[in-house]
Amino acid sequence: MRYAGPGATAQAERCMRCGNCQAVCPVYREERLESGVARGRLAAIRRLQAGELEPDDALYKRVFKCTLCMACEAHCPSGVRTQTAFLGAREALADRTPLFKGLVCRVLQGGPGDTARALKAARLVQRAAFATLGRDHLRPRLPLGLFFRRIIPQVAPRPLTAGPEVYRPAGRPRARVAFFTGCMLNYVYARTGRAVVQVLVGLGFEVVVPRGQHCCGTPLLAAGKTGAARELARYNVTLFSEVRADLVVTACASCGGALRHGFSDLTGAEEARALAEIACDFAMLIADGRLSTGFRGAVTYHHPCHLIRGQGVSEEPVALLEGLGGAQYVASADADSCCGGGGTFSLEYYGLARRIGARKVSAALKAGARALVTECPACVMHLTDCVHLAGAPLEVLHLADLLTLEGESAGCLT
Amino acid sequence: MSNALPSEGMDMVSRQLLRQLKDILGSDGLLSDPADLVGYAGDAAGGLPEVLPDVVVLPTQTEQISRILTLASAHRVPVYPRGAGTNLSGGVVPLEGGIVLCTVRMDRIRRLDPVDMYAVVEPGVVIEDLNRRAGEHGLLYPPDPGSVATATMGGSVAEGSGGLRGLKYGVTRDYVLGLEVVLADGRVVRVGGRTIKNVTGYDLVRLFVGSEGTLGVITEITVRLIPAPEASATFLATFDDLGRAGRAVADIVGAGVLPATLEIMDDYTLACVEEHAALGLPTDAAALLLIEVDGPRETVEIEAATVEEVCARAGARSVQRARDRAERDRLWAARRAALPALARRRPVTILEDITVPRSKVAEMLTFIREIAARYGLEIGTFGHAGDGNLHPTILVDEIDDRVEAAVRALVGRALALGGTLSGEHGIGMAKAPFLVEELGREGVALTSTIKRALDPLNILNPGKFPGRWRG
Repeated sequence: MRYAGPGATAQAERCMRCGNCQAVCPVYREERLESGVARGRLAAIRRLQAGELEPDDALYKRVFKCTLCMACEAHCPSGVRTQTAFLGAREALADRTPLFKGLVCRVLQGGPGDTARALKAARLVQRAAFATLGRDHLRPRLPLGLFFRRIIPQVAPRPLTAGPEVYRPAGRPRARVAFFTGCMLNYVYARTGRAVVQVLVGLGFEVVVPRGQHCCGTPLLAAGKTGAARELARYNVTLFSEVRADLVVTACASCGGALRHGFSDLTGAEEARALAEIACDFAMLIADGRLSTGFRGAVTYHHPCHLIRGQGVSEEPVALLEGLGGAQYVASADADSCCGGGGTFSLEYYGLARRIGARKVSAALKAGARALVTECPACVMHLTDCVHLAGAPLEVLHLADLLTLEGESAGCLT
Repeated sequence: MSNALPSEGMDMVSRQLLRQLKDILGSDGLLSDPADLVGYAGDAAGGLPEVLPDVVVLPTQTEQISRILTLASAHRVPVYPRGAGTNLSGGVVPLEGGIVLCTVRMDRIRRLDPVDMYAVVEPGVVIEDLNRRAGEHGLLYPPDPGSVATATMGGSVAEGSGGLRGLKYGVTRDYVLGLEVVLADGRVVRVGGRTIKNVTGYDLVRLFVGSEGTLGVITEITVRLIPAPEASATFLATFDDLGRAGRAVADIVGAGVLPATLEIMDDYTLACVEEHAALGLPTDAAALLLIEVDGPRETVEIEAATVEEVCARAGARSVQRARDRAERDRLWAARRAALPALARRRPVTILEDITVPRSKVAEMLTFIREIAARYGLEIGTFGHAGDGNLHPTILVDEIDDRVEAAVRALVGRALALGGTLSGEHGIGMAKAPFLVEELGREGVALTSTIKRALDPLNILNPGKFPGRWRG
C-alpha cells in the first residue's frame, strides 16, 4: 500500500476491464486514449500501487487529465467508485502540482482574508491586461495564442460577503436559509450571488450570508490536497453550524456536493452530517415557486456534473424551466454530459476543455436555444468562453441570472 | 521517458524504428511512455496475463498502416491490431511486446447508402454510432455484441462477434460485404464488394472476418443494412426447472417463431443479479428466459401470443410482458447486469463461450450444473439460448487445476454434442489450447498453412491462434 492508498486501490481492483466507461467519458471521446478513460487510469493506479509505475510528471498528466465528471462512475456495471480511486491517485501525485495551480491552492488554503486580498490584486491585474466584454466578462488586450484569447470573468468590485449579512423578506419568512456562496459566487460572479439572494427573498425566505465563510475545498480535493480540504471542511462546518439556519442553500454544484457529501466524508463529524441533512440545491428550493424571466426566446439546460451525478438533482431544474413564465424550454442532446470546465482541468488542458465545451455549444444551438442555462458558476465561466470562441448566438446564464433578468440581456456578446 | 518499468515488453522496438514510426504518425499518434502503455496490456478478458507493448500507434489513414506494416516487416517486429479493447479472449494482448496498432481514431462513416442499403465505415467506428446513423434512414445493422456502445466495427469484424440477435438475424459475418485489408507486408487489398450476391473468387471476406488480427489489419468495412423492424414485444418467463426452460427454448423455435432475442439465465446468476441490482427478480426460480420478438406490428402480436402459450405449456411459473419502453428496459436490466453481477463475486472470472445445437441446450445446462458440483466450483450460466451460445462463468479466487479440468470437460461435452468451443468471443489466448480438439490436426495444419501464406514472418498478433500459446 505504497502510493494511491487502500481506498483507491480497492476500487481499481474492482474494475472488470469491460471498457464501458469509453461510451460516456468526455475526455475519451476527444482523444480515444486508454490513459484518458477510467479503465486505463485504473490500470495505471494498480501499477502505481504495485510499484511498477513511478508517480512522476508523465503519470501526473494522465491522472489529472479528467474532469471528475463522474459519468464513468454512474455508468460502471461493476459499481467502481472511480472518484475515490482518482482522488486517491491525485493525492499520491499532489507534490507534482504545477506552480500556478499550487498558487491557487495556497490562496484558498490561506483563509478568507488571504483569498480576498489575492483577488483584489487579481482585479488590478485584470484591469491592466484585459478589456471588458459585456457585463461580467473580460477579454485580453493582447490576444496572443489560443489560451491568451480566453474569455474570463471579472473579479467583482466587492465580494458578496462584504454586503449585508441578513436579507429579510416582506412579511413573515417561510424559513431561515443560510447561503453557502462558494468562491465563484462570492468573489467573481457576485452579481449572480445577489440574484440568488433576490430570488430567495422574493419567494419569502430569510437569507443569511454568513461572513467569514470560505472555499468548500473542492478545488483542493481535486488537486490531491486532501488534508487542506479537510481543514476547510472543518472550518465551514463549524461556521455554518453556528448560524442555526433551517436550510443551507448552494447555487454552485461543486459546493453543493461538498455540503451534501464531501464535508462529512472528509471530517466524519456529526455536525457535518447534520449540515448535509439541511443542505439544499437552489433549484430544488425554488422548484415550487412562481417564477418568470425577462428573457425572451428558447432556453436549454446544461446539467452540471456535480449536481446531476454528485447530488442526484436532474428533474427539478428542467421542470422549473418548463414551467417558467416568459422563456420556453427546449431539450438539447447530451444535456447531462460534462462541459469540460472541470475546475482547474480547463487551466491545465485548455485545448481539450474547449473541444469538449464546443460540443455542448453546438448541441444547444442545434436544439434551437438562445440561452444555455446552468446552475454552476464554473460551468458558466467555461461555457461563456466556448460560446465566445465559437461566435455563437447564445447566452450562457446561471439559473439565478435568468430568473432576475428584466428584459435586458446579461450576455457578453451584445 | 521518465518511468522505469520492469521490462515486460521484449524491447522489440529500436530507437531507429521508433523514429521512423514517429515520422509516419507524428508525436500525437504514438505512445511510448509507460504511463500510457499500461492501458494497452490487456483487454476485457479475465484471468489472463497482461503484457506491455513497446509502443502504441494510433493511425488515422490506411496509408499510415501500410507504412507501419512495411516497417514492422523490415524490422521483424510484432504488430498487435486493436480496436476498443473490449474483446473477451485476450486476443489483443501484445504477448511478445512490439507495436500495438490501435484503429480507434479511424472513426468516419464514409458512406451510408439507403437505397442499396449498405454502409462503408472505417474500423474505429463504434457499432452503436453506425446504428444511430442507420436509424435516421429507418435501417439497422443487426449484430449487437454486449459492448455495442463501445466496441468498434474493426474489432468486431476481426473477432467475428455475435450478440443478442444471432438467432434471427445472424452474426457479424452475415453482414460484411467487403473489406479493405492491409497485409503483413504492407500491401493493401480489397476483397468482396457491396452487392449481396458475389461469388467471384474465393470468399476472402469470410477469411478475414474472425481472423483476430492474425492475417491482416482491416482498414475499411462495407456492411449490409436491413430495414429496422417496426415493432417488438418483450417477455420475461420464469421457470422452476432448468431443463424445462431449455425445452421452452426449443419449443418456441419449434412453433415457428424466431425471436430476435432468446436469452437464458440460471438460478445462480439470478441470485447474483438480484443481490447486485435489486430488480425484484424471483430468486427462488431455477431459470429466466428473456424473449423479444420483432417485426411488422401484426406479426409481432401473433408471435407474442405463441410465445406466451408455448412458455405456459412448457411449465413456466410466470410470463411477464413489458407494456412500455420503461418496462422493457427493466426486463433487459436483468440480462445486462448478468456478467457484472457475476464478476464482482470473486477476483477471477472465467467466461466460457461454448455453443451447442439448440436442441441440446437443456442437456448442456444440466451438464454445467454437474460439473460445478463435481469440481466444487461456483458457475453461473447465462447466454443466448436461442442460438445455443452459452456463457458458463466460473468464479474463483485464482485459477487452479479444478478450473482447467472443468473447462476441459465443458468444451469436451460441447464438442460431443455437435457444438463449438467458441460461439462469438474468439480463440485469442483463452481458447488457444483447445483449438486442436475442434479442428483436429489436419484442421490446425490447414489453418497454419493459411497463416504462413499471408504472414510468412509471423508478425501479426503472434503467440495467439494458430500459434503456440498454451497458457
